[in-house]
Amino acid sequence: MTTRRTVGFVLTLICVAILASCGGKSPNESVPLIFAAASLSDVLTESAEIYESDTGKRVDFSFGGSIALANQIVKLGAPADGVLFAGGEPRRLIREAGLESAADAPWLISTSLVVIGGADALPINSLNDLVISGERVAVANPELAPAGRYAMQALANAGVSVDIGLQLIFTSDVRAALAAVESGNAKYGIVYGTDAYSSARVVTVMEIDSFAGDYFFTGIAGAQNGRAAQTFINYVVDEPETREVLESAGFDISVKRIGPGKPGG
Amino acid sequence: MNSDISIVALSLQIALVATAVTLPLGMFVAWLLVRKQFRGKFALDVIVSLPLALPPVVIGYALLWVVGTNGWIGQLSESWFGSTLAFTWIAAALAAAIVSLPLVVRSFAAALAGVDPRLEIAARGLGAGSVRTFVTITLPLAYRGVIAGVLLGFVRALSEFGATIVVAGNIPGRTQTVPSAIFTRISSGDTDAAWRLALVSVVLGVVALGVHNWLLKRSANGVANTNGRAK
Repeated sequence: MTTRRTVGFVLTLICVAILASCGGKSPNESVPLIFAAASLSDVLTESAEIYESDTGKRVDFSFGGSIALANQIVKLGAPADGVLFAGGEPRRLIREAGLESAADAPWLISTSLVVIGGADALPINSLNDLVISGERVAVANPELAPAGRYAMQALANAGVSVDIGLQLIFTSDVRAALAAVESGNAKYGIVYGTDAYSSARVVTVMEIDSFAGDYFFTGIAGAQNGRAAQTFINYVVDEPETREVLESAGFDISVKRIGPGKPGG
Repeated sequence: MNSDISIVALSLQIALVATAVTLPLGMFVAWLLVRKQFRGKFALDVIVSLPLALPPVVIGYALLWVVGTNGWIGQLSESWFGSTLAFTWIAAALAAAIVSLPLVVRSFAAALAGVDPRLEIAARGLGAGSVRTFVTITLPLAYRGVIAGVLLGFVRALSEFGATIVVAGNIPGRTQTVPSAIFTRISSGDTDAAWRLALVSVVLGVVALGVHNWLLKRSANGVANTNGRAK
């Protein structure tokens, strides 16, 4: 009977798939999952490769806007073992939820805030010039990513008002703002200096001196693989090879660990 | 390239598990809707079809409140396994199952409706129980439509994005499916890699829909023949 055979075949296929998926996914148990700012995606991916080839241990990442990710952890119970977030707001969320690892003091590294333009963009002298240019400006959504908050604050501090929606384009995270400028869909963007550094298709047209973006690294207290996450984080900041990755991307890691605590390994 | 393969593999796994949920559930609901008269039939139809009319992101959010830290399934799994289902591939499979269920039910219902009820009545008259009648008479006559429905549900599950990204996040190697990987690659300006996966999606969709339409066409002929014979 071809009929029954076909139906049987489909059912068998599905059963095999379920069995295979139940058996195949267990290694994740011991792999720490780290939630990290989109602006760190390339340096962390590279660092994780170095870490894995050195120690044989893997780490998984979820990249995105730091505020969005912090909310996933604090409000929705996302299973993060460690975080590497930008800005004060995500840090406050993690700390107030009592999730900051007590065993190790968190790290801070920093970057600058800059205005970028497409390859042919003209230099500008002030944020006011940026607005007067009338060109579209891409920034991360301030409700999802600290880079967007910094950008909005910088605009506010400079006393310029920008038409949100018409001139200002909000993206889901800072790397998406960078991509919008790279693709030419926005003429300018306000991103971290390190984002500008990572791309050959954009130029920095102005530095915004008053802002330095801080990153906050910590294991998550009580997480299943919190220690493993902290070990990776310490490795990234301590090891010469991964330090080199961060520094050559433009991050300032001379900034220390907050509070007491000896760097682990 | 290597990560492309693992992304596609995870997507297939999620879609297959979703299909494993929708196949029996969809079959039961379709059978109720086509062959049974009962109070609440209208409501059942609306509830099952609702995902068609809702933004997937709403489905994802609703599911998050069921499987997340505050939901009853979330708390159950937290006390059993020490973690909730939110932001796992299982949550992604559940989201895909809910979103594809209406398509599966509709396809199954059409397939079952194409079977002449008199053949089932004859089988019952000859002493077969309702399960046996279904398995030996209804299902064999409707099988092409059923497989077509399975395929349609499967491709819908493969292409699910809105509900998935809310309830399962976008975690490479764990919950990142083909659509969410494409979204990430577009956001980060990695256009070549985005196109590559987009192409994979198109190929999978064309193949599945091709087979789906071919099966439906043959099943229409098959039903016509059966009806002819029955008369």
